[in-house]
Amino acid sequence: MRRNDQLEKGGVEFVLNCNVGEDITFDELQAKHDAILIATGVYKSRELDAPGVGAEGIVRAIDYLTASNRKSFGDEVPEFDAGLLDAENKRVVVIGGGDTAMDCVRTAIRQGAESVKCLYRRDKANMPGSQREVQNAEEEGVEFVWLSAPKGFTGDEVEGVMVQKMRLGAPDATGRQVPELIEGSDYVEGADLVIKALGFEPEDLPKLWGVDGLEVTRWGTVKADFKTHATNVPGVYAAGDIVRGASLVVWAIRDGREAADAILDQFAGAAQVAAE
Amino acid sequence: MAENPMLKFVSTPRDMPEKREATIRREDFHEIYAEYADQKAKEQASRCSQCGVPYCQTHCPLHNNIPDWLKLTAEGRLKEAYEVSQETNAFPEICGRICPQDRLCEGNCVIEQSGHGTVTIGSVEKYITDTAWENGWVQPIVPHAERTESVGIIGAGPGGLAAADRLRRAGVQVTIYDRYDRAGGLLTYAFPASSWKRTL
Repeated sequence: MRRNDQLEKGGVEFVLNCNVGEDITFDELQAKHDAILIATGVYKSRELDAPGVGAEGIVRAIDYLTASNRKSFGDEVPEFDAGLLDAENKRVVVIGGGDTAMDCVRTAIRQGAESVKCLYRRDKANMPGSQREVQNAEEEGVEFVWLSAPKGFTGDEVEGVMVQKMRLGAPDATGRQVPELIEGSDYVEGADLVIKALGFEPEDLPKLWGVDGLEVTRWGTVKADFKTHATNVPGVYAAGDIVRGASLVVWAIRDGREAADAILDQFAGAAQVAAE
Repeated sequence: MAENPMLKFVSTPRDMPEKREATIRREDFHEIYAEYADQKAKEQASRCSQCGVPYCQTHCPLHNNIPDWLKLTAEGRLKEAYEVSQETNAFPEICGRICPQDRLCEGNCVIEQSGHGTVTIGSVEKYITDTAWENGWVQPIVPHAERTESVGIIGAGPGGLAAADRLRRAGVQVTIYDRYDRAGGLLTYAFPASSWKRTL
C-alpha cells in the first residue's frame, strides 16, 4: 500500500505482528523511546445479550469485514473458505445502524447474498450512519427494517432472528428518543448469517499492558488533555478513537497531528533545559 | 480586468462524478463514483464562492484550506493545489473518499446553504490527490535534519500514521508498533475495498 510504503521510504520504522503486553512490554517501549503515542483505536465489539446468540452463524462485524478484506489481499482465511464468514447464497441479517453496519450490508451484497436486511431499533432519521450510504445500499438491494431489535435467535446453526418491533418513546437526558418495545409484535425473520454491528468499545489497556498508572475514563477510553493529548503518564500521549470512542478517520488524523505537535514541543522544552 | 475564474455557481450546476449503476456495483468492490475528467474538476472547483469566512474549512476537523485549493484547481495549478492540500492532511485521497462530507465541509458550504448545491469538495480533493500520485508529486519524506529524539507509536491506523508523518517531517526517529500483519488499522481491515482504492 503506497502511503505505508512512502512512510517507510521516508524513514518510519514499522514493527508489525507486535502485540504490546505480549511481544513487548509497555515499560520496554518507554525505556526505548523519548515519547509514546497510544493510537490503538477501539476494537472490542459491543455484544448482544439475547437467547440463542451463541448459535453458529452469528458473527461479529469486525471478523466478517476483516475476512472479506483479507480475501481481497489474497490471504488464506479458513473461516471464509468453510463458509462461516461468506455471505454467498445466504439470507443475511445485519444488526445495527452505524457506518460499520453499512459496510457489512454492502459487502454481503457483493459476496452474492440471497437477501440482505438491516435491523435498526430506531428509525431512518435517528440512525448514526450516513444517509448517503443508506441510499447507496438501498439502490443495491439492501432492505432496511427500521424500528426493529433482535429479541433472540432460533436454531443451533442460526435459522432465524426473532424480531421485536419498537417505537420511539420519550427523549432521555441527552434529548434522544428512547426506543420502546411494542408488546406482541415480534416475528421470526429467516436468516443463515447474522452480523452483529453494534459498535466498538475500548479494550482494557491498563490491564492488557500492565500499566496501572494510566488513567482511563469510566468508559475505558484513555484520559488525555484535549489540546496536547498528553495522558497522566509523563511522555505518554494518546490520540484518536482510544480517546474519543469510535469516531471518524478525519478526527483521528487531526488528533495524531496535534499530538505530534505537542510531542515536538516537549522535545523543544527538553532541549532548552539541556542548553541552559 | 481578467475574468474571475471563481463564483461560477451562478451559471454552473453541481455535478458529481458519474455514479455507477447499482446493478454493476453489486458485482465488484470498486468505487461507487467514477473519476472526474480534468475539465470537469476545474469546472466544479470554479463554483466555489471564495467566502471570506469559509464554513467548509471551519467544519473540517483538519481545517483544510479548501477555498484555496479549489481556486488553484480552477486555475489548473494542480501541483500547488496538492501542496496546499497535503499541508493540513497527510492523506487527502482517503478523506476525499470516506469522509461524510454531507455532515462536514459540503454540508456547511455557503452555496449549499443558499440553495445552489454544494461545491463537490470531496470529489475535487480526491481528484487533486489522485493526480498528484499519477504525476509522482507524492514523494517520501526527507527531513531537513535528523534529530536524536525517538517516538514509539502504538497502532498503525490513521491517527498513528498521521502523527508519524508529522514527526518524521520534523526529523524525529519514529517506530510504529501494530499487532496486525499489515499497517493501516481499520482502513486496511474493516473498510470495504469499495469505499476507496486501497491507497493508504
